[in-house]
Amino acid sequence: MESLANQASISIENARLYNEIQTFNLTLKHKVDGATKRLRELLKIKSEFLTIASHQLRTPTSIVRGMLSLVTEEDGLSQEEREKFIHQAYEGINRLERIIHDLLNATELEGKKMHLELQKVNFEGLVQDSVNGLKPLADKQGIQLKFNKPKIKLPKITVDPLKFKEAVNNIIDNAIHYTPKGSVNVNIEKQGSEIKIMVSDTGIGMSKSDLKNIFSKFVRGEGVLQIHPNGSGLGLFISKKIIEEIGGSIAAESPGKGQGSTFTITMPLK
Amino acid sequence: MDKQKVLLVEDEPSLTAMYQAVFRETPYELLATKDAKSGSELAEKELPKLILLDIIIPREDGKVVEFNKRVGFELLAKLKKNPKTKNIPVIVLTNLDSPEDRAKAKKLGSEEYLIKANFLPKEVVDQVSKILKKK
Repeated sequence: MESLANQASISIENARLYNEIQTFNLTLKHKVDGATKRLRELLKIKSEFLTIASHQLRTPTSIVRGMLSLVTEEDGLSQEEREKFIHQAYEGINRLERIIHDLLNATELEGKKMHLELQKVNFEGLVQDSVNGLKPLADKQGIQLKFNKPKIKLPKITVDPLKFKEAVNNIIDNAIHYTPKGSVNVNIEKQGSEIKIMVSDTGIGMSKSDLKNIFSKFVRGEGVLQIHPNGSGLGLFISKKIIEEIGGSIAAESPGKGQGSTFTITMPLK
Repeated sequence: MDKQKVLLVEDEPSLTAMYQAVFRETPYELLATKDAKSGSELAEKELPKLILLDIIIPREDGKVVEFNKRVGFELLAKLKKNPKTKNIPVIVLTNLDSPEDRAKAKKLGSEEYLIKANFLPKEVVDQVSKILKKK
């Protein structure tokens, strides 16, 4: 009798353990399936990144090789055309340099702590430098680039000036490229214990889904990844990383497609 | 003898200028456009002998380039569905070099897949001649 009771108790315990193992297995399977799916997605993103990155590198390479081959091998070109093609080959090399710089920067920034050389700097002067540097691009495109200086004197702020300028440059450069006509306005304001730099344009604007992905690298996703033909597709991604590393934040807003955009960099006053 | 029309769909202005210069001294007249919508319209109107098609192009003039959409493939599919344009040979001329993109171009009916960076402008002309001689 006692032995039967023991056996029954063991059977019940076995059944309980079996159920527990089954549940555990099922949970584990879900986790493994989830991780495998995520890994596949990451590999796909990585592969797409490499395809687009090499596309971006090859485009200026095609321009440089093609232009130089025309200049050296084609007899029917006018002097004006020769000069134009040599100029475009130079432009191609500049573009290639910029893409390489952005690609290296983006790869370096991924998952690493950035090396910063912090200094107390005059904010307004840095933004003014960026605007001055990009004025020729805006002029070439026939749009107005305006810097509305703050009405009050701003306190100095601690940033890595070179990196900070690169981030601001990317934002303004991007605004110019996406504004076929109209203007790009750069404003600085002190709001409480923060300084805000706002870059507003009258350009192509963005839909809600574009806004979600705007700071990503070229990732395949639901939203539209917008890249202007001369860009590396990494500028905004790099800007966000830099601004966050130096303790600030960056946000993009747009009322919708065709209605312009505003990028706001917010830096705390330390 | 009239020159044979070749249509180039390419959104990079310097590459268009480069191909226009090299095609000038050939038996072909290069028509150029920079987006999928006008590419489709021009193909139907001009009925070129061959189309050189970039893959990462805007859908319409003034629209941004959407890398993840590969709009050139949408145009290729449209051209191959249209009874007026389906027999026009298409050379994909791109800097995208992934096995998936090559396979997609082939599946959609392109004749050739050329990487711009690997072909000098005059070599692109040679490829056009090669295909048109076969026809």
